[in-house]
Amino acid sequence: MALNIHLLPSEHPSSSILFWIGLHSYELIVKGGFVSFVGFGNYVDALLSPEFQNSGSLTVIFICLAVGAEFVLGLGLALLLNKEFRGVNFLRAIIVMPLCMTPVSVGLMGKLLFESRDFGIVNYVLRFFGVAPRIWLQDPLWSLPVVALVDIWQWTPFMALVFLAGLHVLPMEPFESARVDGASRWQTLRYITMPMLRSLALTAFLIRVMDATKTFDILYVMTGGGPGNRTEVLSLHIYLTGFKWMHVGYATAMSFILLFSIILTSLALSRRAKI
Amino acid sequence: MHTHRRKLKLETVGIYGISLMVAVIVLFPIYWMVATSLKPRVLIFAENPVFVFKPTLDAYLYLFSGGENFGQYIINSAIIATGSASLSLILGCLAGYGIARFQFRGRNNIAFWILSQRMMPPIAIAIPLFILWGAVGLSDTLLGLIIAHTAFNVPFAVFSMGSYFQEIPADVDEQGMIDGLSRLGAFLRISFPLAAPGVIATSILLFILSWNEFLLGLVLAGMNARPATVATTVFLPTSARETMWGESSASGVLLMAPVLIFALLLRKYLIRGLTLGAVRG
Repeated sequence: MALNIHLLPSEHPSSSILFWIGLHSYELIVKGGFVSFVGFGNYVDALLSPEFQNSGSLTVIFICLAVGAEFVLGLGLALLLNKEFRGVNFLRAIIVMPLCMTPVSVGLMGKLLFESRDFGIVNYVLRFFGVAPRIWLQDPLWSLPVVALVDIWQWTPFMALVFLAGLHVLPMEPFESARVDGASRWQTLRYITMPMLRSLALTAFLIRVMDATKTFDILYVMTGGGPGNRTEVLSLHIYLTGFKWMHVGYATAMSFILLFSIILTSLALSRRAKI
Repeated sequence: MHTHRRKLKLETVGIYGISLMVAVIVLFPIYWMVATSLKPRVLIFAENPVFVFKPTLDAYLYLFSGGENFGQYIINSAIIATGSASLSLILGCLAGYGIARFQFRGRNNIAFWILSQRMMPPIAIAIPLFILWGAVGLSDTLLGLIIAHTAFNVPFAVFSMGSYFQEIPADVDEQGMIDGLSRLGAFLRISFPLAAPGVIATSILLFILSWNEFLLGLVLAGMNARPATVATTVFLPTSARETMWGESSASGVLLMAPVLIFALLLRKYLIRGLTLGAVRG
């Protein structure tokens, strides 16, 4: 598959509008909008703003936590589901459920499980193990990892299904000769399975990185960006700037920067995946 | 031999232990939300979780007859999802057929196209769309949301239908055309019926994509065209009160119920679409 940059403004009308609005000061608070040309001012402001930088690093942390865990757990789950045992079909069926579920519902569910100190089921279970209850979603340190955990719940099955499809089409011979040579399971996984799944793994990884960058629904429902702005990832920051504070030009400049970084990341990753 | 057997037994125990854990992790949160939606209000706030209770439909009744007009939002969502799924499917079938049957410049970049569609963050498009929709009178209309969702979902439809049409040999169309059918006739009478399983899987996934969509609905819809995903957020905490747990859970259950039914009934057909782009069909 030849890979070219297809999202240059000249090729995508919507993104060129985006770029153009980003060059303006566009305030929706004034009726009809107040528009004046400010050149690259919005872009410079964004890159220098501590809020933007905070959101950027939160986005990166969120992606690393969520996609990293999904990758490892998804591979493990695929190896489990690739075996034949009683009940495996039931497991294969239920892991599709999180994948299809409405993200807003998943967010409400996560909020229900984690939010309250008094009646949340997670705190109840943790108290059993002697962990002090806390209001997870209002905790400056824990709120982002907890949202990532909910994302992991929903999307690990994606990784698992992709790996499972990959495992199904692998040839048998290398595994048989490895067994004859007395390779351990870990060696088989590390030196035979993984290299053969490499391209597939990188593609799945790339897709999840792109999707995780856009995560909005579960964060909007579970934390709304709080406490403070400790979970205000870029998509949420842009939404709040554009539609709550009505700085449309500035928000658009930020979304252009976001789009551009997604393209660069994907290009870098897909070069490695050789797709 | 003895240790080997013990090792095997240990492995079996391990497999079942992990499987049980996976099943609990997947199913319990869903069960818990359903249970909360059926609990009397007092029990939701019980300090020790209550597992046995007499279910009540109070939360659901409130959604439909109490303070919120949730039925209308569900209908909105259904109209938007059906409309955009049909539109995307028509475009996707025609374009997918073209890609599967004809050689033309840029054909090979289609596979990248679906990835590029995944790259575009909806929030980036939401702002220009919001301004455009306001200018052409599409804001807060069902049609506006149908068009917006279609724009996002057409690449998936094209890619998915293209992969199904590719599996049908081109000979069958050519045979039909020798027998006097036009190209369009061959498509409608021969390839399209043969691709029926693909058409069904694709249209259900398109429906799910649109049904689940939140951000565009939040930005582009006001009171008139509000989809159910956006309507659930009224139960979130405000400065005046806490989260309405029973009602928010009930709305979450109503949202996910149709999707989960699809997922469980048609799993085999949907998995291919769900992993599309990563797994070469």
